[in-house]
Amino acid sequence: MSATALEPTVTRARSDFWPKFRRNRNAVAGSIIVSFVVLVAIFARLIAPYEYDETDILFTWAHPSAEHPLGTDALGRDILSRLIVGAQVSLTVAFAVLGITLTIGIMMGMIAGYFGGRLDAAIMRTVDIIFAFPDIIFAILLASVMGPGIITVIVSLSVVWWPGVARLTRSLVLQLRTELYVDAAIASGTPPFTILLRHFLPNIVAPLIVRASIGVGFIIMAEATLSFLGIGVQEPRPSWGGMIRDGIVSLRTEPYLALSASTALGLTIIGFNLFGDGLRDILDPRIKDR
Amino acid sequence: MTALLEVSNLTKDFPVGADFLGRPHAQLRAVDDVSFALAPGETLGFVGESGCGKTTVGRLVLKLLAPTAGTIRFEGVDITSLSEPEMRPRRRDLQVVFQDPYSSLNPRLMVRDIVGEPLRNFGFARDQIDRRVAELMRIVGLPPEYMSRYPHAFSGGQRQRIGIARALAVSPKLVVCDEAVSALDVSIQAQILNLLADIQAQFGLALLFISHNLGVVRHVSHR
Ligand SMILES: Nc1ncnc2c1ncn2[C@@H]1O[C@H](COP(=O)(O)OP(=O)(O)OP(=O)(O)O)[C@@H](O)[C@H]1O
Ligand SMILES: [Mg+2]
Repeated sequence: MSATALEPTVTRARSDFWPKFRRNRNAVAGSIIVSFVVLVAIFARLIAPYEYDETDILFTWAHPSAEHPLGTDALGRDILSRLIVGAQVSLTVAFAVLGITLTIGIMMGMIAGYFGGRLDAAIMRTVDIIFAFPDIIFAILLASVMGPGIITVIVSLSVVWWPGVARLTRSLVLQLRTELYVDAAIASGTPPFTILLRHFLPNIVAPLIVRASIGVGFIIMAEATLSFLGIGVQEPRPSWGGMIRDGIVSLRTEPYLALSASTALGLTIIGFNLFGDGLRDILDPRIKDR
Repeated sequence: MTALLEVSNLTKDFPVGADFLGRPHAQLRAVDDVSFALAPGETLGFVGESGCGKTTVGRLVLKLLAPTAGTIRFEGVDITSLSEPEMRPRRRDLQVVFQDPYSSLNPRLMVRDIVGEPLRNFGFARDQIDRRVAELMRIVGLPPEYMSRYPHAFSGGQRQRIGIARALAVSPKLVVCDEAVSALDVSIQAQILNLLADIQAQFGLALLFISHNLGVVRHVSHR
């Protein structure tokens, strides 16, 4: 250890995030789509040319025109306006489910992985049971108890989504558990929950962010499926899943409703997946092949 | 004079393999009936070939593992029967320096927070912590300005010094050094050993010095 060998570089491990981000096509394309959809959702009521529930019985199934750029539906409501307000529904559900599942999943996964023993066994058996249950069946069961609606969708998707987060968190915690700085922290008298927050969370957050951004796409798809089945958001509030269902009935003659809702759904999901894939390459090259 | 640390008939078995119900196939005896005592301010060298259970003894003494049998008395108190919350206040007197200078420092924390961690746990205020960390940096031979850097900016020998600073932070009575120099170049080993010997002479702490290298142990130990 000579004085010359010591001059350490002061770069922080992740100061190269933005240059890498800009060079990653997936991340850039994904973030453009995602920010577009998020902005549309936030300002939906300002952007939408018509009220989403404004019917016009004399003007049903109108084809696209200057007045109605995407045409109208069976009740003469403007499809573009309903699509825009539908983005709000999709994203509200997605972010609510994400918030709930990340909180519960990370907490459960960290407790299971760190403390081990019976606590671990209890949490992981619960996770296994939920995994064994088909998601949609669970949502239908729940809807029959709670009645359909946005809350039912959020609750049922949260119940089926936290176990995945918990499993990932647990496996990440188990990997870190053998690091000596964890033992050093215990030996220094650091209490367990401080250890989890200070030594584990910052070191597992990257793969969790990646997981979350890819998860958004799946959650939006699941919400659309539930609304398609009639369990989700109820009329007159629009949802992309519900619009696809209504559109399919007359797909042959009046394709604009189903087509525009499917396109919005598909683009949004692709956007979040590209964004998540890009983040994964940037933040966590190790889990690339998983 | 009573012993600072008194280990009697310490035994540790590890379960090996597991059937489908999670029951182990067999037990591997890593530590078999070990007894020793260590007086305050004394250095005890703990030598043995690789895999003979030295690290395990160190981890048992630190209560990072629970023994299968035997007792560990620290300042006359049997710590093997203490729960972790009961143990925590005593950890102030019982610190550790690990073998691997890479894994023993959290890459996401600044040196200030790494060395300051024991101080935070034992109720030092923010400004006291910074002053103490700067002092510790000088003691272990690092410029105090380096405390706002992250571990990756340091060499192995420097990291080991940071680990030693952390162990000294709350002025413990006993430091367990598990192969504290084995991962380092020979020339750096000598520097770190001299540092440990100086610190011990200066602060009068006891060292449990674990190594597979008799020469290294001779360099520091009284017995
Ligand atoms: N957590 C564990 N689970 C199972 N077996 C273990 C565990 N820790 C240690 N062992 C086993 O116990 C024995 C003693 O290990 P230990 O690490 O204490 O040896 P050591 O003397 O420190 O060796 P080295 O000089 O290589 O560091 C080894 O055979 C090891 O495989
Ligand atoms: Mg060892």
